Formats: sequence, structure tokens, C-alpha cells
Amino acid sequence: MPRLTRRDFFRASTLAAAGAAVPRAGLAGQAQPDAASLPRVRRYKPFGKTGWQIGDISAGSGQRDPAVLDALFARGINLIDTGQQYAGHEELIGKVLPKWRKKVFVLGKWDPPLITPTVTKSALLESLDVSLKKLNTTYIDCMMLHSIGHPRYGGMERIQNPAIYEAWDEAKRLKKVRFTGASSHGVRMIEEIGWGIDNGRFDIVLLGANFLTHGLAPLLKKARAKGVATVAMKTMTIYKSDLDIRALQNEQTNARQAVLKWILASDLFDTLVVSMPNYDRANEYLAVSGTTSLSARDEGYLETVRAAISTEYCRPGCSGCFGSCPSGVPISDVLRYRMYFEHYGEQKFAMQRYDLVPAANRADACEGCTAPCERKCPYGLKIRKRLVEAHRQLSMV
Amino acid sequence: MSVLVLAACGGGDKPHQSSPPAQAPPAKSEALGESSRQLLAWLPDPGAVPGWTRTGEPRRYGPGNLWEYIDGAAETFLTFGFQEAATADYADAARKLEVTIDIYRMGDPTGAYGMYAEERNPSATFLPVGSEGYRSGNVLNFWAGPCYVKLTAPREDPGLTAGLEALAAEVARRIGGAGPRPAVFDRFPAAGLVAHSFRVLPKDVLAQSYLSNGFEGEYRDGGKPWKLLLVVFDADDAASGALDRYQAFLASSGPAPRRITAPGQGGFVGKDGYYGLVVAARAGRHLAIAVGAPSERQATAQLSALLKQ
Repeated sequence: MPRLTRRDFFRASTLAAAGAAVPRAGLAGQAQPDAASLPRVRRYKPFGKTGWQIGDISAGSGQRDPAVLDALFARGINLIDTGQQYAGHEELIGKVLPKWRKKVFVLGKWDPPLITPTVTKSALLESLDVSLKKLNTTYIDCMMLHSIGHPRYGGMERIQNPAIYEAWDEAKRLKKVRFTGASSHGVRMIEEIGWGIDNGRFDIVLLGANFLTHGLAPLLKKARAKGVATVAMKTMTIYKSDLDIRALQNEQTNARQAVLKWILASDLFDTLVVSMPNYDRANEYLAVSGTTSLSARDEGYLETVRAAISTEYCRPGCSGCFGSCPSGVPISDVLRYRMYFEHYGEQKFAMQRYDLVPAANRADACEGCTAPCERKCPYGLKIRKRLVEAHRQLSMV
Repeated sequence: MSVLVLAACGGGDKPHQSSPPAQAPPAKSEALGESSRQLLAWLPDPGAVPGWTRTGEPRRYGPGNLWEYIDGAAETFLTFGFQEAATADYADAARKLEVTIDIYRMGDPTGAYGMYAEERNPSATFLPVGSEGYRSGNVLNFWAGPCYVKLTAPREDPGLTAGLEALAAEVARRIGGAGPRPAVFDRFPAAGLVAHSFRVLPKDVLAQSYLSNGFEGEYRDGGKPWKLLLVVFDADDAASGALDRYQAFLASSGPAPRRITAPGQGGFVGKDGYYGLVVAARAGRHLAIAVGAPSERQATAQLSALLKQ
């Protein structure tokens, strides 16, 4: 990867800002781009064994207004990710879907708590019918298990319940579902998704990933070999809650685009889903469709983000330190609060979050601890020292 | 591009360990702040509702880990000002019924009403619980004060209704302070208003990033439903700038909007590719927009009433 000096980086950043091809919703008095010049999907890829060609950028569940969803489909997006748990999103899609039904692939998901070791086939089919009604359609292209691999909802015994597969088979027979799959960004993502792929249960998998999460390549390679389609989600997790990285100053748009470009250029996934709640975000994200490689400028943005958060960033899907703390300190959460405090200028927000941790589980317990967590961390984070410092920062000790 | 193997991500074939999720330990009230203690106290004590016992300890979630409980829905709760949640499971052993109670404390009553309205099922059976509630199948939801409360049973059961309503009434009694819906909705004209259609739109009104703090009602005058929206700004200039920007947005994808001098301080009539007719007008720091109305006359009349308040 070409290395940029700080001067090179900011010069490149300035040029990028000057020439950014991202039409913005216009300011008063400014000329507006006409509809034909707005960014749209520029690249389509085979989608596993489904027979579909899906755009490299797909829609997540962030819309609240049907008009923007209609506009996204008009701009070439042909896959939308939804689920029973996303309040009102199925109904929103239902307002637009009839117009686009044959052109848009719908990823639906059962509500995670519904999937238990004892859930029945009839309960799953009834729940599917509720979704079909809300979506205003007679079929869902892919009905998924939502958020598997997460301890909150249970373990492997959930997804090994035969009723799930009986329900899927019945739904396919009734032409209510065409394909099946699962989503995950939990600590046991790799083994539970891997189990479904190995056993031929999943046609499509939806996985949490961004440029800081590594380790998915063997799983994705296995998926490709078996014709399982792959979708990336949580691609913009590092920008959650609109917390901006100060070092990027006015380059947030370009940095966000670089984060998406990394997924596109890696070619690890068939498509990615990203939340586009408004026209500005849609323009911003669709502008990078078609990306097949990263520029030096993109690498510079990623390097800046990486430098700001990499050694503190607990990757989605990593369970390295899980259960290792004798005091029950929520390690990844406290480190994330520290990141908010130090790098995002969100001191109050971070302290409020830390205040929610029960006193018995706070990081003052790390003083004098032998830090078994550090022996478990695959990224070599100096967890104990960072937690002790975090406690002082976040509790104003 | 190289990709590293993260061995620790997986646990191989090891059996699942049912460790509690990070940062969601059982709540111990003695270690909590005042607001958290109050939130937990709003959950019925074991045996407070005859026939129902609490099974297990209450759980508590904050903005940093709400996704661990409701995953993809967390983002919407955060948008409405979510502060903290307490949840607990209850059972009626004799009738073999189970119910989970979730209390979401939002930043203020408007946030609580907004989140409630976001998930509200207009065709449900509405109930006088809290400020407003409804029951639909195995679910009973209501809002009261700064709280949005959800009671959910794993499945429908003929004996469930009474239990849901008794538990809900007990939670509502404990929260108290069930006031009216946000006063801003009193501005919306009553004629043609679709029942239970009000929504709070904290941001991205009409998917425009510069339109925040909005309120919406749905209208029907015999034909297709259409929307009336009110966006409240901090200052007149901000409202005026947003009006111009929205006009420019419509001009980019359709015919140039036509300026109008009333109602209020004027605005424009334009066309949106999805909604059809758009009429917008401003009065001071209030921007009112009608989308999809059957005629300019009807839209203007309702906007005039909305801005006159």
C-alpha cells in the first residue's frame, strides 16, 4: 500500500473535496443536478446460485419515507434488506414494492427472539404470513434467520431446530419463499454461519464487516465455493451515532466513501447493504458504485481512521476476551466509551454510557489484576492499562 | 488485498457458553443512579399482579448496548432519544402464560409518543392505558410520561388478554403522569384526519437531511391518503432556507415549482415523483408541507389552518 505523508494526505483530501462527484441536495440559488446525472448503481454481480445479478450497493433498513425508497430503486438498487424487528420498515416497503416487485430482491428476517430451540413450524409460517401482508407481496425472495451467533438469543441449538427447515421447505413449496439464509454480527458468527453453509441450509448470508474486521476470508471462500451469496452489513459501524472523527475535519464524506469502497474493492462480498435514510446519503454512497480498486487518496482516509481507532476498536464478531474477566467488566463497551471520549469529542456521551455500568463491574477492578483478557485478545490491545485509564477518564476519578 | 485470519472469532466445535451479554448484567438497584432505580421500580414486583410472578432478574440496557437486545430496531429508538431500558419476564404458571415487559425511557414525552406512534398498529384495539395504548394479538403497547412500554407474549392465547391488560395497568400506575399527546399535534386540522396517524419525525423529514424536528398527520378526503407535515425550526431564517432548499430539490427532478404568496409568508407549489402534488408554505419558524393532496385548493386550505395556530 502506498504510504502518504501527512502533507500528501491533506493535499489529496483538499483535491478530493474540490472535485468530489457527489451531488448534494442543492442550496438555495444553486444550480441543481438533473435527475439523469444523479449517482446510480454502476456494477452488478452474480448473486450466488439465485440467478440474480445484484447491484454492488444495496439498501439497508434506514428509510422512513417511501419516496426515497422509490428513488433508490429507480437508481438501480435491486436488493433491500429488511426484517420483522425493524419497526415499520416492512410496511414502508409495502407501499413501494408492488411497482418494483419483479425487479427488486427482498431479504426478510424473522424476529430474532422467535427463533428458539422449541419454536414450531406453524409459528414460523404464521409469522411469515404477517411479513408478507406488511410487505404487500405474495413472496419474499429470501427469508433469513436474524442475528444468529449472538449469546443474547441462545446458541447453536436454536438454528438446529428442525422446525426451521420444515418451515422453509413448506414456505418454498407454497411459493412464499424462494431462498433461505441467515444474518450475523455476533461473537459466534463464524461457527454458526459456517454450520449453515456446511449443511447446505443457507443460500445467502449477511455478515457484519468493515475494513477493520478481518478473519472472514475462509468463511467467504467456503460460501463462494458452495454458491452461497454473500452480503456485507454494518459497513459504516465506525460512524454509528454520527460520531465524527476529529482528525478528518471536513473530509467526513470522502472518508465514509472510502470505507464503503474498501468493501467493494476487496471483492469479498457480492453486495453490501447500507442505510440511506435521505437523498444526500443516497447520493454519497451511490457515487462509489462500480469501485474495483482503492486510490492512494482512499488509502489515506482509511489510514487516518485506522490510526484513530484501530488499537482501541474491538472488531465485530471477535470474541477473544469474551468471558475472561473475573470481575465481569464489559471490556469492549468500556473501550468503546473511551474511544468516544478521546477521539470523537463526546466526553459527556461517553461518561453517561459508563455510568450505566454497575459499580461492581467497572474498570477500577482492573487495578492489580493479572489481566487474563490481554492473553485472549488477538489484536494485542493493552486492555488492562486502557481500562484503568478509561475508568479515570469516564468517572472523573 | 490480504485478509488475516482471526482465530479467536470462532470457538470451533466448543459448546455454546451461555454467558450473559456484556454490559447487560442483572440490575442491582443499590449500585445504580436515581433514574435507573426509578426505571426498575416501574416494573411490577413479583406478585404485584395476582397470578403473575416475575421469573428471573430484570435486565437493563443503555444506548451503547441496546442493539444487543433489539438489534436492528435500536437505531430507531436512538433517533427518538432513547435513554435506558428495563425488561423483565413474568409468568402465570396456572394458565401457562408468559409475558415480557419492556420499559423504554426516552428523553421526554415527545420521544416516548414518537416511538410509540412509530410502532403503532392503526387497526389494533385501542385501550385507555397510560396516555394511549393498544392490544394486537400477543402484544400490548402503550406510552406514559417519558416511557414507551411494550408487553409481549410468545404466542396468542385466549386467556392472555386479561393478563396483558392487568400487567399493563400496573406498569402505567407505577409510571404515573400520563399526559396528553404532544401539544404540537393540536395545530393539525381535524377535518379529514385519519385516526391514529400522527407521527413524530426527529430527522430526515421527507428524506431531506436538512428537515428535522417534524410532525406528520395523514388525511383522507375520500380518495388516496395524503400527508400534512409541520417542521419546526429554531429561527425564521432557518425555516426560510429550508423552504428554498426543498424547492430546489423538487426542481432538480421535475418541473420548476411555482411560487405562492400565501398561506403564511408564502411558499411554492411543486411536484414530487412519488407523492405527486407538493404545496409548501412558511410562517415564521414553522414550515408546513402537504404532499400527495388531491388538489392545490385542499392542500392550501389545510396548510392555512396548520399555520394559523
